Amino acid sequence: MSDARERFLARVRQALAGGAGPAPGYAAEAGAAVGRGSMPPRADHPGSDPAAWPARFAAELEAVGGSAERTAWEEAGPRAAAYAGRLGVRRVLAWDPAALPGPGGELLASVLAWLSGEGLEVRTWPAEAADAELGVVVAEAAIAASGTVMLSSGRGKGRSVSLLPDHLLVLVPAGALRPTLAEALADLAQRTRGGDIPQNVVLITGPSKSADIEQQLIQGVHGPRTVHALLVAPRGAGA
Amino acid sequence: MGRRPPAEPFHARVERSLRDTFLRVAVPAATRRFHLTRRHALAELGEPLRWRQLARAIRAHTIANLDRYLAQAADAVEARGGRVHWALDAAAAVEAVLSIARAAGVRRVVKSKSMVTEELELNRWLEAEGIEVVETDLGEYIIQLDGDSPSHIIAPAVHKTREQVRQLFSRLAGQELPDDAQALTDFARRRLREKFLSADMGISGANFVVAETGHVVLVTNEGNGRMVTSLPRVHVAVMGMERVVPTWEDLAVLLEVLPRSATGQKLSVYTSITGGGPAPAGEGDGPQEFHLVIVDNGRSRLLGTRYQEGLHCIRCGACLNACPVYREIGGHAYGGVYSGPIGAVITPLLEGFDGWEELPHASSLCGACHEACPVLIPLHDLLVDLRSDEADQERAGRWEVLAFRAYRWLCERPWAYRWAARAAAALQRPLEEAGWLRGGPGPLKAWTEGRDFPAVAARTFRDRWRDLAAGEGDGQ
Repeated sequence: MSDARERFLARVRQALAGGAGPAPGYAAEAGAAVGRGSMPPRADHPGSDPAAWPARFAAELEAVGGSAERTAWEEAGPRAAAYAGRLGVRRVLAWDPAALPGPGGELLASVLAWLSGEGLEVRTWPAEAADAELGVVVAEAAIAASGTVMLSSGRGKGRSVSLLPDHLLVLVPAGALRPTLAEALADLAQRTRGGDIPQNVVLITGPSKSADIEQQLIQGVHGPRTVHALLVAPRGAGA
Repeated sequence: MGRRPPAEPFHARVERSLRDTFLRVAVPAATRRFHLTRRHALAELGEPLRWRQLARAIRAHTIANLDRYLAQAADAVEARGGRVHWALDAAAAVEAVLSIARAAGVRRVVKSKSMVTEELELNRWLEAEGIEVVETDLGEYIIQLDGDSPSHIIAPAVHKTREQVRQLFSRLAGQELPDDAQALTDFARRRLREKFLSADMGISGANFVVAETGHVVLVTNEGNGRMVTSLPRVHVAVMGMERVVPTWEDLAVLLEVLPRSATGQKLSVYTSITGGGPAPAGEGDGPQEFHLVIVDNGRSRLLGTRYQEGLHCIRCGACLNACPVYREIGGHAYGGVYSGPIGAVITPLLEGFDGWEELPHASSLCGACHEACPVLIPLHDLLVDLRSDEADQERAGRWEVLAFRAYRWLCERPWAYRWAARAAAALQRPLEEAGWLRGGPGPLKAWTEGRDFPAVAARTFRDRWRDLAAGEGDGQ
């Protein structure tokens, strides 16, 4: 095994060192860390004021075929129930609120309690996923510039919940919004460099889609057909 | 093992493509749309060139230090309980995957789209072991059902009509399905869902592998990449060795340019950052085994040469969409796994010139590919260099060699050149029509049948110059 590795890497090393090399100027460009990590300013940046981010997030998610609404913490349950009602679904599969530390877990627990109270069949992960109609998860981060939610796997946070059901409801707690991908990945970098490495992180930007048949856009190829995000204000803060 | 060039010669493949009336409409329409949405999506960033320069710097730095970053990625995977397999060539890569499958008692494999596994012809080898392999990207699934091969890096079935898809799926369903893209997609969804839930192994490619943690990054729109890496008990990721990216910060830059350049999306629907190691026990899903197969298969031949930049490619397909040649002939005419300008560059480099001599000539050298490339690979320059290499290896046809010898002989002898120009002006008269030649003998006829050939000027430049220098003017 290590023998194969050594042979492989030795061939790469020798090839890089030998030969005439790439065109002039290449070496300077390939020098250590040329501007890496220092991104150019971007014209589509949502701005530094977090107050502007929810509206931008919602507009971007809607532009890719998803939907989003802002809600007070206390209203999140009724809004979730209304979404399920519009879809006409009954079987809900959710992450386990007990697995989520802090306000995300409390928010999820309250939403699930409301859905149960409305007569929906609510199961929490791990549970049978194949026949669930609506998945409910909590975003670790949400990206305003692209309408993206970031989920990471872990105990009680099955990958299948956001993947197998036909519909997906994402709760976005206050404070989860980031302006761009760079900030969301910076959070992830900080986390993994601290030794906490999730096996699976997924950035979801709208419903599953394909244009493989004559370039006609179809929603819901393998993943959820609809994606709805609830941007939830802090508890007691109103909408 | 290794792939062989197609038996059908290049010009015959091109002619067949040019006679395909659906392809002649569908490919220009799709590529034009991709091309326009790409430009729009990049323009939204504000200063696309600066982003592309940054992306290029990251790729140049990575490839120039490839041994270091591959070692780092492998260490990270092993530290997280994954296994790393080093494959110098296609045979070793196939053997690695087969031995993983044997050890795990695999009967059914689901695959997400991966160009490198096309290089390895992995499906054929798995099937020879009696293992069922199912492609799960909708386009790849269509291609697989028809025993066809992908014709575009990101739109593999762009050359297939809806009616062809309907017939394929109807045969599978045992009943006539409606001529409706939504209904056909729903059929594939139901059918493939069963496969996902019952597969033992998922095989994916890798858009990127993050050296820090060994995570595989997969960019998809359908969700099949997530299925393949989440549901089966074994996940095998096959990466071309150049796919590594040093840090999360570098990944953030490349993910801003890849989907924009590929489909014009800000981000693809699913960016999966997955694997590196198995899923911890108790999570309820995710693979119990993770394997990373790192494939060279000819790539190291580009390192240390002026073609090293060919390994910067992030497989977005933008150069295909921009290329006036690709737009006319589609992907299959190139004959290899990779088509378009990047295919014309890397196929002869990865596979050797034999059977691929024509590819560096399948370009107008207009440079549209370079203009479109998110990492600014000078594809047109590399094509010229490849042509030069071919000439150095005396791979040109006998008549071409003779013609250029004659041309050199003339150019070295001004008196002969002058007489030849005058002779040509006289001899061409029967063929000339309004400044262009029509018809003609031998190779000239072959050229003028499909292309314009300007007539030689009636008076040579040297004659006009002599008159001008004498102060007479030329009266025009």
